[in-house]
Amino acid sequence: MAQTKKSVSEFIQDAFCPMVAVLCSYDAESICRKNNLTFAELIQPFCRLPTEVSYRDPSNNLITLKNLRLEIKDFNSLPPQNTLAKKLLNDSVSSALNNGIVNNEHEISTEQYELRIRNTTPWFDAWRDCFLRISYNGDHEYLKNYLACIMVVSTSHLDPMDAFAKLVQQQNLQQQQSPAKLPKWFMTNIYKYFVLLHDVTEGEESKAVSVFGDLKQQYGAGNCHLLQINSKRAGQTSGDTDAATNMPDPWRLYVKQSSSTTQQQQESQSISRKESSMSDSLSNLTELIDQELNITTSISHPLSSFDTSSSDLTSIGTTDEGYDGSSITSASTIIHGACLTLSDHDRIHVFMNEFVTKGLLLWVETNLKTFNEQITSRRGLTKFFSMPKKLFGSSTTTAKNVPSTSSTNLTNDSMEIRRAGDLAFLFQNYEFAYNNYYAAKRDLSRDQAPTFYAGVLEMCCLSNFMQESSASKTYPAQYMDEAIDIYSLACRLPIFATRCVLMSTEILKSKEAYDQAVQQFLKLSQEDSDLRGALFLEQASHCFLNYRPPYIRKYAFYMVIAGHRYLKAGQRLHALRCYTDVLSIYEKPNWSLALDHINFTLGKQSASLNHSNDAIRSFNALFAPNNRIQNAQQQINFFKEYLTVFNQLTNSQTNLPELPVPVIDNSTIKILLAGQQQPQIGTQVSNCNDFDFDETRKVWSDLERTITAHDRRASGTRTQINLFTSRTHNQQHPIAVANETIRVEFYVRNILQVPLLLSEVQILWKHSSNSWKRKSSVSAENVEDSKEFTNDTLTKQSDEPVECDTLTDCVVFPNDTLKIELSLRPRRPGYLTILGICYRLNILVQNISDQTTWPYGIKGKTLFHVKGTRLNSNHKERLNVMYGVDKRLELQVIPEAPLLQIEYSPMPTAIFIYFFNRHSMATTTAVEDCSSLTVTTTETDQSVQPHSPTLVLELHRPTETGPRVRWSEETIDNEFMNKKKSKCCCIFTKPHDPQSNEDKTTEVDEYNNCEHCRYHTESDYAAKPEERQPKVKIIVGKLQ
Amino acid sequence: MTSSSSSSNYYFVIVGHADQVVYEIELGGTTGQIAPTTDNRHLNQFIAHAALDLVDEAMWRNSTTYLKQVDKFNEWIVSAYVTAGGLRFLFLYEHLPRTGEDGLKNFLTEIYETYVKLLLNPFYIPDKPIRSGAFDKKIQTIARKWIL
Repeated sequence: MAQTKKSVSEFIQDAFCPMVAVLCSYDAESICRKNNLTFAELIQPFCRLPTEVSYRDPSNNLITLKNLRLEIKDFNSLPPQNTLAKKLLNDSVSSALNNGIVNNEHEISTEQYELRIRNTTPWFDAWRDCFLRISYNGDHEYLKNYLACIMVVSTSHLDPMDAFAKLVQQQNLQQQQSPAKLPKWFMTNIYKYFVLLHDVTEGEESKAVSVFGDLKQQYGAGNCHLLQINSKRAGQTSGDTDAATNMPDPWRLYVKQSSSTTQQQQESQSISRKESSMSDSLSNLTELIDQELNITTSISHPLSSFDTSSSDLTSIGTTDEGYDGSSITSASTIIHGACLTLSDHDRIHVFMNEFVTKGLLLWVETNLKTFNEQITSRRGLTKFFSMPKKLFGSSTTTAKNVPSTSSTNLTNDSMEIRRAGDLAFLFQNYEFAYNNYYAAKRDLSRDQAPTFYAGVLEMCCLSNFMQESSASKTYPAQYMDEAIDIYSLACRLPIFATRCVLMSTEILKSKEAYDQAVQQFLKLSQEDSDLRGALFLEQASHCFLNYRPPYIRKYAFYMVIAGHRYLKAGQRLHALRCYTDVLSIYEKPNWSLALDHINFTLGKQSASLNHSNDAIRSFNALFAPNNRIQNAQQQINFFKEYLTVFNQLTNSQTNLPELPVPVIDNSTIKILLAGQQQPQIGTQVSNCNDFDFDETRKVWSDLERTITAHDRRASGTRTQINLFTSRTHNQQHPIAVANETIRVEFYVRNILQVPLLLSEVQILWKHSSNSWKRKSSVSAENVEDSKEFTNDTLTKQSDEPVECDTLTDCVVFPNDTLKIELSLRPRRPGYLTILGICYRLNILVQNISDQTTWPYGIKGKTLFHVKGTRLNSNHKERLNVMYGVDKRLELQVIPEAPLLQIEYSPMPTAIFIYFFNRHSMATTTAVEDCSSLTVTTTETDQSVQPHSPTLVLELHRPTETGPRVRWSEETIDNEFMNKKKSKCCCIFTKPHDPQSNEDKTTEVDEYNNCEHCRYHTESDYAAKPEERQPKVKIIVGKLQ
Repeated sequence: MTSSSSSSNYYFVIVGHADQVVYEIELGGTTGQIAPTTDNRHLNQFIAHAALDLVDEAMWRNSTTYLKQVDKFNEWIVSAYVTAGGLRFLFLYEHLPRTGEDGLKNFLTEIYETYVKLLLNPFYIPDKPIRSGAFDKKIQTIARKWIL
């Protein structure tokens, strides 16, 4: 909820305070210049009266003014121009964001939502103050007109009396000039006050006194004042300047505001923005210093310093030495009031007090009295005239007749009433004001003078609210609604409508009528100004939170709209703040369209503000896998934006960015060691792409079990597994051999509605050679090797320890999966970790023109995340979800080893164990002789079919001598047991055909069926059994 | 916040107990098919989501399940129906369908009946998103009958 520091009545009182103009002669101005101030600026810090003052109203009641503040302006100052005003408002909002980072949040939690809401919205307060400061007065009201004029002449003038006369004349001229300058004068006979400024150090005391005597004679004693300032010279000794820095400087706040406005006003056309920002930063600096000084001198209010005695000040001055740096910097900036001592401050203070009590209030008192008399006399007259109205009928019919004759007259009367009301309102006589306003309201109908009517309605409400004592009258909220409507719709005066809303919402909030406040905020949120719309929408959404129960979803919606308006108004930071505040509310499942909208805007805007991490997080959320209902066109749009943002943001990074799409199915990652040297497609049986491991899993695991059971005796070696999937036991590092191919296979899924194009797909790896020790080597040798390599960089490196194959192009269609197979070869021993894949991502669209906008796509990575099987061994593991280790991606690379490749051509359909035995015997001997020997025995049989499969067996050099494959104990070699044998190598069973009736002979001669046997030729029968074995090709050697 | 959607477009959403979307469909055109996708589909969701506050309030004020118009944002009007189980059906429209207020009420009531039948399915977990194609078709037939 937006809260202000001031109470509502204080706020209204400050918004409408009496205005006083200051008219200076040139010489008086030059005296003030010594302090780097104008006279108006000089007295500005003193214009809030700390004491209570009082006057009598027409009915002779004593009215006590608490905390009266006067607004003092230079005679020549103008309200800011339209464009400048807009800029000021914009600046006030954007700069206030940084001030608001105070820990001022509170929590709101309902059943479903938990929110942290800021207590205050300082940007709104800043905007409101700025708006009220620069808003001008309308023709229909007298609130912001000059009530009085202070004429200032110094004693250094040759003829002060003449100068005063000239000033009076100047004021009169200005008041009468026909296109009246803003702000206007309250009435023809305004209050004039005469100040004789005396420079103590330069002027003569006697002259001042004599001139002041003349002055009193001419203009009356109550209307004159002799003000003595500059008791101290500007360039005095160093001891005094030290004291000067310790002097309270109440001007900074005021001067900053006014100087920045005037400065900008003058420079707005010619001077570039840079300088104004320079001056802004300068003023910020001075403000900072000012704050610091305020802290050290422990002065909260400028005026409270007058109570502290000079001894106090000196004691503070001694403690102040630690702040030398700050005092130096403050000295380098403009010092205000350098020639003023504390007693001068006191004199100004007394002057203001006298001006109000002895002059202004008396003037107010008499004027109110005359107004009252005029009004009562006229009232009698109108009552007399209105008698027939009451006699003849309803007021509506008379309203039609009367205006033609007396509308102007009536308006003049009402203007007088209004003027009286305004004067009373400014001087806190709210009851009198209310009566006047109410009378004016009754006098006029809405159609005659809509602006005037609306103004009166507005003031009726305000004065009603301000009469705190008379609680009997209910607050007429409907008046305010009506006033806003008239201002904004009938009169097209959005400024006054805005002022109305500002006032009335404050009042309504204090009365806890939040729904009405919301209504009024929303009324004006649709109007022209985006900044105001955004601010009002935000305030409205904060009001929703004050409902019982809080309307959290409404709050969220209006914050989103407010964010949208902020964007339009160019306040990106505020927009971001709005959107991020409500993001969590839309994070309930499946509000994905809304969430996407927010994320998209957040991503785009934080990218343009260079918040790269936020932008990428938002965009990644956009492509989250649970998001399925967005249509293709929208996703293309998202993607376009994503690509441009990405290219822009990741230029500076060294590591590859992580991409959200496509999704890798981590459970399908397979690693195959000992792949082919040059991957050929479709010729190898032992390749994982030719068989489905999962289907034949049973067979393989049976085989594996048999081998392991048999292999127990071969101590020190473990069975080398070559294929690792999510089903295998991956507790130990797979062992790969340097210079041998490792193949990785996985599936990617496209969750978008757009086909994705992946190009330059590579395995992302990390290789470290330090931890691995060769058995034979000395440990000290490893120092030079202790280097980590990775290809997770944007820059290409030479001398990479791993060689990767690249997949140039592949397309993943919408909602489809695609298998990708990649290979890599480590060049050196060490530890190799497969991190993921890197690729260039793009989308495939039909529209060619779209394609050209981002021809290259973006380079990024997606990481693999593997986990082992879920643990289930003990109680703790069963209760929690815990997974075992999975080391299938962390390979251990051992130095190069000989590779045995056996190729059969043709491939026999059945192999007897005997053949293996013989081959292994033969190759073992060969390997031992020379490790780099290549034995190739190739006998191709041309008579066999060309598509016969080839079995490739690859053997590694055994660490022990002796055959690796042995007969088990229970194996019976039946070769020479004189068993009955068939002459044919195959046993034929006739295909059974149930349809055919012919019951032929069951016993058919073997020889007759031999045409079904592939190898059975006539020549085979003649040959001996030994020669009938298949041809074998053996390759032994170190490859490459 | 421009309204590019034509006047005959409707948006229907079922909101679960934790404010999550259980089912949503855009109805529109004269054919009763799913409305052509527009750029500001997210606005439907925003408005419907914002209306939930008012639905929650109106639900305790009315004794009926059909709550009539509960919220309005610019030209979009939201009507609501609250089931006995506390599920909220929201219907977004710019102009009342041709059968008027009664038609809308019948439409929502029939959808409720369909939903109850869906609940009888043991494989459907309440409050989980409805992905049944049959349910889609059924809703579209009901929409054609009462709204379009």
